[in-house]
Amino acid sequence: MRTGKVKTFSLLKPVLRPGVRYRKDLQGGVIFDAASLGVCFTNPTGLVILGEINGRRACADIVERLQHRFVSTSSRRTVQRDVRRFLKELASVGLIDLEA
Amino acid sequence: MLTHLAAPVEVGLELLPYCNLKCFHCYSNSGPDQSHTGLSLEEIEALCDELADLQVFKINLVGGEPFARRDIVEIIQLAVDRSLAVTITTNGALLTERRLDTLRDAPPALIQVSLDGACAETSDAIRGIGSFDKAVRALRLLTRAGLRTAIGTVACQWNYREIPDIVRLTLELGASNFHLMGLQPAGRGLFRFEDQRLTEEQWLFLYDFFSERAAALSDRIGLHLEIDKFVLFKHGRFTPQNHLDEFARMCSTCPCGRSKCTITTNGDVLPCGLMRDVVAGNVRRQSLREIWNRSEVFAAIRRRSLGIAACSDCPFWNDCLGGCPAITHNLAGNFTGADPRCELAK
Repeated sequence: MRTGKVKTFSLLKPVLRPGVRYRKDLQGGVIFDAASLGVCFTNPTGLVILGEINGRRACADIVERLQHRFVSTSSRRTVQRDVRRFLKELASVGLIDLEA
Repeated sequence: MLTHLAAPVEVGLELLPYCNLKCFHCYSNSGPDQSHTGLSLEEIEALCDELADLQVFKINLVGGEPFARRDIVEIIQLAVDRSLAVTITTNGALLTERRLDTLRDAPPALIQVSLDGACAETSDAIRGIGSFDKAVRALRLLTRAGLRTAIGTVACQWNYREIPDIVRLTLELGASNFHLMGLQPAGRGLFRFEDQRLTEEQWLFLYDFFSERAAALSDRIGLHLEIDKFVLFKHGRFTPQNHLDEFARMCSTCPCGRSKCTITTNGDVLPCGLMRDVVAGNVRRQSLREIWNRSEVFAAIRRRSLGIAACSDCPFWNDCLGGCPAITHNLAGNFTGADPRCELAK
């Protein structure tokens, strides 16, 4: 059951909702949602993950790319955990859609 | 500690001092006796270019009355063309169907119409005779045109009992947001602050009203409630958020000079529109980037968030950062100390 959920999530492709934009800022990034006119902040790790979202990459691809990029500083498991956690959080507050 | 952002997230732009109404609480002293002069369309275009370059997300067009400017549609278009989310604060009186037609090509993200009562008798006493009917008409027109609207209300002695009814009116008129503010001690509001500000009991009445209905209401409208937090601190209606990280703290505390600023009709850059005489620079002489990064005024405002002696050991520091710098400045004469409304400050 757990394996199935993980697999499903890995195949989903995150895409920014229309009107969601972000910028690099001091100590991280700022995300703006034109629909709610709300702003939230993210740390540098979140900013890197946001930069990987292009609507074509699946969650698993993003994890793999970042594992490769941060191979010398973070364990594969840490990268996988951070990416999953952050993408789920973005989805839960309506900033991204996770498309099949 | 993160005291500010690299650039504002939001900029308020005051388009002209003139307003067709003369509300008793206006923080910018606007009124029919004020001029129509503001930054020219060319100056606003250059400013919008810079805002886009700085990756500012949102511009809030205010006045006076923004729709008293003949070139308001062009101004909105300039901002929308540069991917700025445009919000407008208006009394609605000058909005006509013809005017709305011209907004279709560059619709603002939100138009907030001011309404200070649930009936004409109350709202007109605060905002002027006939203003209530015109505001309601404007809200109906805007909603019918498919534009996103909010109702903005300044809570004072004359209207606080009607606020539940204004919320009902918000739902009835199809507005998507309700924005409640307290009376601010700025402009004409300064002279009525002591006799018109809400008491602790009145704030608690509003807090309890909204907290009981927040879940049901939030499915239908966005609530933006600026309830006096010092009252909530004092009466145990607020749990200190000690776990807040720097980013959450930036979101939940006063953005004045840290993630927002205001530009007045003559180009002065203020940390906040409520601080009329605290000028950080002028966009006619300097770039906004330079003002944001180098102004000593902004540096001083940001130093507040590093600590205030009177607030040391306060369990609510993370949620408050010493309160509102503008109200502190307007009531105490400077913005370096704790907000004078707070009874917890030493």
